[in-house]
Amino acid sequence: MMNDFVLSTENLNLTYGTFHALKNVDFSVYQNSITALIGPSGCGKSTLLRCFNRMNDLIDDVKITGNIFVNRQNLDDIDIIELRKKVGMVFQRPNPFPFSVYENMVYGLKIHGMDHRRKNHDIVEKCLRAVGLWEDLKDKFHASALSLSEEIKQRLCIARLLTVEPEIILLDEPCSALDPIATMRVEELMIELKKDYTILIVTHNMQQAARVSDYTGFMLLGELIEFGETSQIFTSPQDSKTEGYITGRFG
Amino acid sequence: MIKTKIDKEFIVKIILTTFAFSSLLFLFLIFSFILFEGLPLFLKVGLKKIIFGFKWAPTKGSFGIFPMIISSFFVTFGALIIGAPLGLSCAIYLSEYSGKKMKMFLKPALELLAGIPSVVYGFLGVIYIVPIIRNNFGGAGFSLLATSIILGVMILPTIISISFDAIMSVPKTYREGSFAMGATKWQTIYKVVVPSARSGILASFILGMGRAIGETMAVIMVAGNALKIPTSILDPLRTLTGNIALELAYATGDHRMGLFSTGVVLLVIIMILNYIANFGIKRRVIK
Repeated sequence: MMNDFVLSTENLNLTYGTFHALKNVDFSVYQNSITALIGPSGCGKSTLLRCFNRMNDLIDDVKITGNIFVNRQNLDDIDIIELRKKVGMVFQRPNPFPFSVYENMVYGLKIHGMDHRRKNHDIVEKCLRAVGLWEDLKDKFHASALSLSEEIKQRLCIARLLTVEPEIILLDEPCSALDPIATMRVEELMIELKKDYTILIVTHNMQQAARVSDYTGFMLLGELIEFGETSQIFTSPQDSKTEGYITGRFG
Repeated sequence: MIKTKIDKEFIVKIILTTFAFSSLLFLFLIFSFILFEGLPLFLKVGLKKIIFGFKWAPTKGSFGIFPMIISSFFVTFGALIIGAPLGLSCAIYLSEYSGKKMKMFLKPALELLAGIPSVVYGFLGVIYIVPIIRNNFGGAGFSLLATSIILGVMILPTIISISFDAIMSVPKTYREGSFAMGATKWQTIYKVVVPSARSGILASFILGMGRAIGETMAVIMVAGNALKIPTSILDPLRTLTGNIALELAYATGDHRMGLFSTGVVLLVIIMILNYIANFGIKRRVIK
């Protein structure tokens, strides 16, 4: 089991200015699994997620020490463009570009020079099928992506990622803007995608973590308090703080 | 106690409403004044002979302003060719690349550019740009080229500030989405940010055109003011605004009315540009 992790950190510390957001985090994500990060707001779970595709670089004043590995390669040795292609990310609010559905879908192909008019259509079809949108959108290629419902937008954003063939998908509270039925469908999609991709999801919805994930990490005030198989975390947590959080005593 | 408070509020509201509408009243007065003075000539000579007439000899009964209309459009597009790429680049630099300190230095400097009186621009044009053109490219120097350069610089503040606002209002999530897919900064700017701000950027160009077509003093000083359609960028020309300013001092009777009808045409052109900027483009942004 220890050999097939695709994301991991060693003694990871991160500060925003004077705020210590991640403290000595040792964490791993296994291949073709869904790993959930749970914890109350501000515990650093999104920050940890954003370390893996270096989205924290966009913020001033961030300092990171310790090691981060993607496919056993140190993050410092990976070109940032290649890294972000390999490690895709889905955001809290669906963020399709204000262009047509088709333009959104070929964006990744264009920026990575993988844009071949003949192949584009097949790739778009394959990726839309993978997220269950093909039937809905096959006649709406030229409709504005902003005119779609929130759920469809979020699925489109996932499909948009798949076009550049990532290996790992980071999801930052992907369902927080969705209603319960749409949430359920996106969760089903995640389980479907697990066959081909490794998924790391941040959620503040404990039930969601329990439903979809294989492994769960519980974070509190920048520390990874406990990490293990989801069934174990939710049925017999080792740490009293984890137990307190999952039984709803705080958070 | 409460009652007097409400009364005060009410009075303030009435006063402000009155002032707000008084500026509308000025607009209405200007409008009706120009129409009142200019329209009789359209009825007397005919719309076609004025707008499509080639000969401007108002003391001899010819009121053709076609060359000036064309000249006005030439200098406006000339200004846009120079001002649009410069202004847009500057707006992109300010919003995407410059640090906070640079922004704090550049923004007020650009606002100062807008505050320089147009006669100063004209003066600089006569002293520097006209001789440079004369010595290097031939001709008198007073030309379409000189006018376009001066106007191109003059419309920069308009283009920069409106484009800057449009680019800044592109949601951060679009940029993040693009970066997260592995796009470089420049790819993100020209494939996501600029297309997303397209409407506002176009509005800035059109408002810049409105500013260029209405500019008078600087134009008179460098355009040469010859009454013909320029056939090269080194030819002198006379714009609609220039025509009014040059001749109003000594015009009487029909000649005076002819100048007012020039004003009517100018007003219509500017109204159309403003309409496009406000409704044609901004409304699409809201959608």
